[in-house]
Amino acid sequence: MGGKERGALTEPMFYVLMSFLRRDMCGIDITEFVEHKTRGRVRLGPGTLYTLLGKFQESGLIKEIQVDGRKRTYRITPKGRAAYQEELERLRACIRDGEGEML
Amino acid sequence: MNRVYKLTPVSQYDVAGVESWLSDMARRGLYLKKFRPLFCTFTRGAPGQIRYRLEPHRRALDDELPQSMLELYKQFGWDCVDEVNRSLLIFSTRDPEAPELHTDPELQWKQWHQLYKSVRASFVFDLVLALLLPAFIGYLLLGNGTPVLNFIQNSILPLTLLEVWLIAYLVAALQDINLLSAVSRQLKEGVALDHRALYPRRRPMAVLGFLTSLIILMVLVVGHYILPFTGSGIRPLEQVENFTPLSLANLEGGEYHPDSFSVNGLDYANFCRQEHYLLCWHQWEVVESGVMEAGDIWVRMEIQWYDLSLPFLARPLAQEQIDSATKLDDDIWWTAPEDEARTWSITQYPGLGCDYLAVAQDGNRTFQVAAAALGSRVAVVRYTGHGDLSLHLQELAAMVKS
Repeated sequence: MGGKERGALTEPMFYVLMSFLRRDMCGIDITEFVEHKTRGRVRLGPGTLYTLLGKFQESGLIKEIQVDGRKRTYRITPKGRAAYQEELERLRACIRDGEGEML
Repeated sequence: MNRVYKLTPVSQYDVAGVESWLSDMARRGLYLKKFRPLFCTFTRGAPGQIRYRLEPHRRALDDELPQSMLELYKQFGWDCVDEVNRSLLIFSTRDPEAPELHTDPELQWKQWHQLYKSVRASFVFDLVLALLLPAFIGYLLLGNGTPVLNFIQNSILPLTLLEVWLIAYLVAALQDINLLSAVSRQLKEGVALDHRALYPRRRPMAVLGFLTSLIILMVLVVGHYILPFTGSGIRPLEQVENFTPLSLANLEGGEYHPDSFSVNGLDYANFCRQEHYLLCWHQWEVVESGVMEAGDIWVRMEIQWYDLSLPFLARPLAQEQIDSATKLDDDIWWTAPEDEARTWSITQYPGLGCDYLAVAQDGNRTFQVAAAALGSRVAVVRYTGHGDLSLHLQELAAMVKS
């Protein structure tokens, strides 16, 4: 899910990936981060989160680093950071294009 | 623990229907213990508000339940109650604040679409099977030119029932495919799934039909494959029951004496054997072999005797066996010389109290076949020797008379 074969990240995907930038995260932490960051606009159910974490792990964007009872902690990989950066650039370009048309 | 069993009123793939029904049962104090497509098990408790949700999850035979998934869902207040057919998980929560499982229809679509494709592939496989099965049944029935005997002794009846059952199953599976297709389409359009829907109170005909056909199928299959083994092995000729067989000594006259081919105390040249089939509760095979003192000529007689469950098959079976025996390759007949041209004459003998009585003899009268049918009984005699079967009509008729 890196580079050209990935395509644009959906909004939930983008925020979940964002949640790992500063620290390792586990399930509940991720949803709290996303809700807080988006002021409740983006909510993640456990099914959605589980699917996203599975896809990110499968694509090598994050990796599981610790299992403590029911709590599983994940960390973003260099490939994940690159994917996030790429998405950020794409969004910036979108904004530039959009604002350019407004002038 | 107080268990309650309820017929499942909806298909497992009717997502909103299943979720609504299970929630309604919880409101009546019945909590899901085990979900099955035909009936579910509940435990009794105080009435409560519970949300149930179905989650597709494909699990191979040796896979464990996905612990990481169950743990994550648990953190959000959802417990896994049961698994259905290794393809669906049922979660429940009592917490009204617990978030919905899915907030992104597009991601959820992929899961349901995968399940849809898997059910569709299984449907196609069953459809191919349903199309191939009649061909296989046809081959079993007509393969060696004796359809009546094949119908009685082969798996025609169980396989035909299996075909009917398969068709009914395919019709039901088609409805499941339509349900999953609708779910998949709705999610692909970005519309979240409904969790509340009207559902039928019961579907007794579907359940009754399924159970009835399954039980009949099992009885027939078990009956067909187990029953033949309940007959006896090879036994001495004196132990024939149900009828009095024609005697090779009577056919051959004074110079005849029995041959013997004994292994471990069993004479494979002179024996009788009984078998059971659903459509022929008593079938006897009687074999006699001997030699004539003059020239040491080998003679043999084989009797197949049937008591059919379907008497209307008796006459066709007798006729078929006469026709079939006269068309057998020469080397099937005992002591048949190679490359000898053979013509058969078949003579019927009405008026001896049988539904059918006929003797077929080849031109040299070396090989002879007789068949008699009366009511549900049929006797077929194949004989290689010096006697004349047409001179023993009363004995032939007696084999099928009570």
